[in-house]
Amino acid sequence: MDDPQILYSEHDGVHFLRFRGNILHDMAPMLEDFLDQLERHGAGHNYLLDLTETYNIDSTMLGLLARIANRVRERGDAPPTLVCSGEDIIDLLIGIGFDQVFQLMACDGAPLGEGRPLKAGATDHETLARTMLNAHKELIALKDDNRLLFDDVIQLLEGGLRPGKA
Amino acid sequence: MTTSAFTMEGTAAPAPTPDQVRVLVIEDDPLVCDALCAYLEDTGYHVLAAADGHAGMTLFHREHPDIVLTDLRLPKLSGHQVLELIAHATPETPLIVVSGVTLLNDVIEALKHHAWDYVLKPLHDMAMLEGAIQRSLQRARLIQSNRRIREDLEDINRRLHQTVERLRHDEETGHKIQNRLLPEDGAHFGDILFRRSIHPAMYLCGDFIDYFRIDERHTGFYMTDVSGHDAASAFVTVMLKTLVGAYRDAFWQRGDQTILHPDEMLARINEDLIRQELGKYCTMFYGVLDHDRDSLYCSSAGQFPYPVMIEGCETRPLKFRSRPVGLFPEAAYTARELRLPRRFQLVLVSDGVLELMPSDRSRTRAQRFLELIDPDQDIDGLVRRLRLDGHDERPDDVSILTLSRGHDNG
Repeated sequence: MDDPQILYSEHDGVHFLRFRGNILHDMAPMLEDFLDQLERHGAGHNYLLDLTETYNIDSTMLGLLARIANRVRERGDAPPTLVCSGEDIIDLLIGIGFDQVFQLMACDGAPLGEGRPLKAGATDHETLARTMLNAHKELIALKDDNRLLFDDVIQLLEGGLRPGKA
Repeated sequence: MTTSAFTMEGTAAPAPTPDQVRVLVIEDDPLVCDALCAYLEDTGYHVLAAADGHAGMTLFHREHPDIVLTDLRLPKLSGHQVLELIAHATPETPLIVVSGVTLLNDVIEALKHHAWDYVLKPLHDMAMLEGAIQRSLQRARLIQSNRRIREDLEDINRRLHQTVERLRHDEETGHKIQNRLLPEDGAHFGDILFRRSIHPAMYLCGDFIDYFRIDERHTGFYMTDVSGHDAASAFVTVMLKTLVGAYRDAFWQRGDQTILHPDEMLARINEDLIRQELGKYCTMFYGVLDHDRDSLYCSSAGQFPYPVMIEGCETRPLKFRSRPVGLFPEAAYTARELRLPRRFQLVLVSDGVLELMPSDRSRTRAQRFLELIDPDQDIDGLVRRLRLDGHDERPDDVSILTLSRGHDNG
């Protein structure tokens, strides 16, 4: 299997983080540093977390994702969006109640867990989530430029974070 | 050799100036000796001179020169013997042979053994001598520098080894203490049998299981999985045991009912953990057996995979959707009551078990775990099926707790 990877991009005031492969606790110190930097550089941004390419994620890393949800909620903002597709990951996230603190979505925008369906007259939260999902799709669709749009978090940490990218 | 990477010019001490270097010249021809000494002194070296091998060795032992120049044909003690004695006494002292052209074979022989370099008499160009001295001194510096680096590395290695040993000993001690805090495997409360099996990924474990009598009518139990499986996670398991113990004491001493109410217990532990700001959280399943009502009162904080109730040949996951404790201040927990079947087995496992399951598109790992459970087997059978009885390394701690009645076949 490929090495696990966390990729980052920033688009229209939203932090995008993609988690690929087997996401385990040995990446935790790095991600924690990075999230602290994000909070300093892009204060007030919301988050979209992409776990569609996540094969497995352990409890330590889930704890860091939960911290993102807490930070956003403390600011009084809408819950961050979490996109996932693997049945294992969906089971796990719902099992630990992440559908109550994130907007949990399938790749097509269908809500997962106890998230309410997106419909006409949706609340601001849902509109925001939908917007974020669309922006995410656009980013992913630009396949050739994907590498440029998403930077490896390790490289970003090494090179110092450059705010306002993408 | 590991130190070879350090044999670079840059790692050696700066080159000494001639006035910092003491040269011993051993030469029986007074003309050559005078010429050599005069040149070296003019260049700035401190020079010591001896006219035979014996006198040379005496000077060497008394003065400890930085470099030795010696003729090969010497009275009393030959140049070869001088070379051998010095090389044996101080292998890092540079030795340069000063010899006649006619003795070239002797020079080669000396170079094969102890000499570092040579100059040939008659000395037409004194700069050749100076070059040989400088090269040898530089080589001596590198050798000394290498030796120091090697000694440093050996010292660091030794200390590292001691530290690792100490840590290993600490972990073993911690492992023993943690084991002592676990309840006895195979305890009966009323007609309910409690079994447990814990398999740490390393010495210390982030999983913990406990069961205990609350009063004549009630038995409490829980399984918890603290995020991570390092020493800090193990500390948190000990803290949780203390916390639960404090609620049991509060019941005994003041009649505080929290210990009897799983939803309240989890909510209180959630608050307790968040207040401690440990950066750790845990999934937890807490249950209370009511022996009079013959029921189980339980609540879950993100316990996944879901506990499995086995009744007859039917296996049924108890789905609780709830958040772990220690993460979300606003998390709420609900309790539910289950009437206990006449014969049953309740199986709880920590999420480490999922990493032992193969994953493919047809079924999730949680489903595979459900399929793996044989309703006719007890905890020992499950341990065997999960291949936990070996000492193989596991990616995560795995623990199993079972409660059963009328289900004693192995």
